[in-house]
Amino acid sequence: MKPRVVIWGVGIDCPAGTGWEEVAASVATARRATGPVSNFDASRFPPNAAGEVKRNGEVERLSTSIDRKAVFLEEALRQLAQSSSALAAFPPEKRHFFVGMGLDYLDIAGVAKAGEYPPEGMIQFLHGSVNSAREMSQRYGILGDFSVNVTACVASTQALGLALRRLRQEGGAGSVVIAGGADSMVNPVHYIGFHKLGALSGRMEDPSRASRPFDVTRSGLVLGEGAALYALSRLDDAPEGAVLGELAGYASTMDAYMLTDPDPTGAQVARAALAAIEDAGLTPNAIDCVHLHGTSTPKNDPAEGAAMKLIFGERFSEIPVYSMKGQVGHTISACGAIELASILWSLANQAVPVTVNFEEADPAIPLRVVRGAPLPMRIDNILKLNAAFGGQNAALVVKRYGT
Amino acid sequence: MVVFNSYGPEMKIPVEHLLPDRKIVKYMSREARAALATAGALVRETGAGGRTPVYYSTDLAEFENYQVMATARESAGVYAEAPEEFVTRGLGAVTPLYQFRILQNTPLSLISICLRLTGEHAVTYVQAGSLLLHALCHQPGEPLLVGAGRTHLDGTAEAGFALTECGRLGSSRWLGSREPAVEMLRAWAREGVS
Repeated sequence: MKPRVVIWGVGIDCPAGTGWEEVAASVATARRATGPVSNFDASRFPPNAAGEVKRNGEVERLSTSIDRKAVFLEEALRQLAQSSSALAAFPPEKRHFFVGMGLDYLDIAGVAKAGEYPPEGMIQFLHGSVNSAREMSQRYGILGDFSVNVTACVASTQALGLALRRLRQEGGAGSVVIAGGADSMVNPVHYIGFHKLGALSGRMEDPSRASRPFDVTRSGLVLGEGAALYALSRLDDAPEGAVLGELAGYASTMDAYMLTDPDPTGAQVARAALAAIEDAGLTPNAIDCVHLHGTSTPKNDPAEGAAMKLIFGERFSEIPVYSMKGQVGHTISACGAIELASILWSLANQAVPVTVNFEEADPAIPLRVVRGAPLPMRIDNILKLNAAFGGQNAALVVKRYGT
Repeated sequence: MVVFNSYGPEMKIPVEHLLPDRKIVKYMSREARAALATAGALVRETGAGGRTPVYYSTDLAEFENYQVMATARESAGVYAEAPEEFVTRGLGAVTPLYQFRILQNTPLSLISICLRLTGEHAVTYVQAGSLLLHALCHQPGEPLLVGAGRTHLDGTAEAGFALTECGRLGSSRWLGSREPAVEMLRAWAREGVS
């Protein structure tokens, strides 16, 4: 019998809020959290929309010499450390740190100010994710195993999956894993990169409505940013009364299809989902709702629709689904971790949230996307899907604690 | 079995025989080419494929080898004087391909596409210990592909891949190591997986 692994702490800093309570309130009310880019001058950029982290209602503006995702990661870690004294009960070498991180940040303004551009000189303006994550973990006394995943949009999902597997192993007892992710592509260089890919939403008449998962008028993604971290341990090691959910299943697959597009059949997404469901000791019939990747791009959303049919058969159009990206945008390497917060909200409130900006269904994707008001229902088991550019897929199953 | 390759700055990295479509080569950085060529050689020798899991470590981007260097050079002068002009100059310097070339999961994606690998996977960053952790946490008894790649500032590209299984890795001296994973593969190629 596999040891049970539970989630009992959360630190989060994302467009929907800073801290669990603020994020939960945003999810409950389906508050739109994207808008015009504010942390740098994007006034001349062809698309101009992002989900940015705010402090007291204002977009967090930082010096261009600072890697935004490192700041968000530290905020999430600070929240986690402060919210529970239980972390201190674990010996430092039994505290592990697994995060998904995005591309290294290039301080283009710093390069410009330097005025000289020797190749070797560029490195000083590059902020390595692994260095900042390592330094942070050590400063907080997390001295056990360490891993940075850089598998793009499944990076933090894989970090959470690694946490599950590590804790199930012999040697997992008496350990805590801090797992999650951080990213910010909302900077000039990477924003332009995504624009050049043709991936960004063209719905600029209202940037707060530009990310439209599964909507028939969707036209692309809106970049988001932020971080989320969770404390996970075996059930026996979790603090009394603190459990938020049980992480019960994980699997990953690759499409082996195209670099630019997902496999439209959804076959490998479905295989990851079914493997995660099996890993959780369940069958597809036991899944109550699905939190999808739902990027609002023309190609991702139908591929997920196809996967849903393979996973659930005839039930695929009845099972309620949700994507958090309508609200906060696509937070790239952090998305699995940030979106886990909405899963925990679903479990706590026994409801499926509203997918923000889903207004008109696409007949080609006949999924039951919740709109208007959260859908109250009994929820014991949630399937989470994420997929990355290049065809990497990851799936988690999260159970209501006490199921 | 372990395969390790090092390609000097002027060396061509042969991958054409592995491509399902020649056009895919435009997405390849030198690291991606080295990783694909090396993984391809191992897969050909061992017959591994299909759902064989792949755990891969990439390394710090040394920007000389990526388009973003051109972006920075083209844009940086303008950025200091007139940031709003960055859009025009920066956009002009960036090809759509550069984002694929710098995305850290691109080498593994290309390996997956070209070698038809669909199994469990992860891409970790730099450290050998992180890469080993993923392999160790995989289900015992299954063969795994464990690999790493990097490019150096001068354009030298290196990659190594091993076919192993997690039971062989539990007492590895690389557990917890912060050394670049590509050094672990280099050592394995010399000494065997250990």
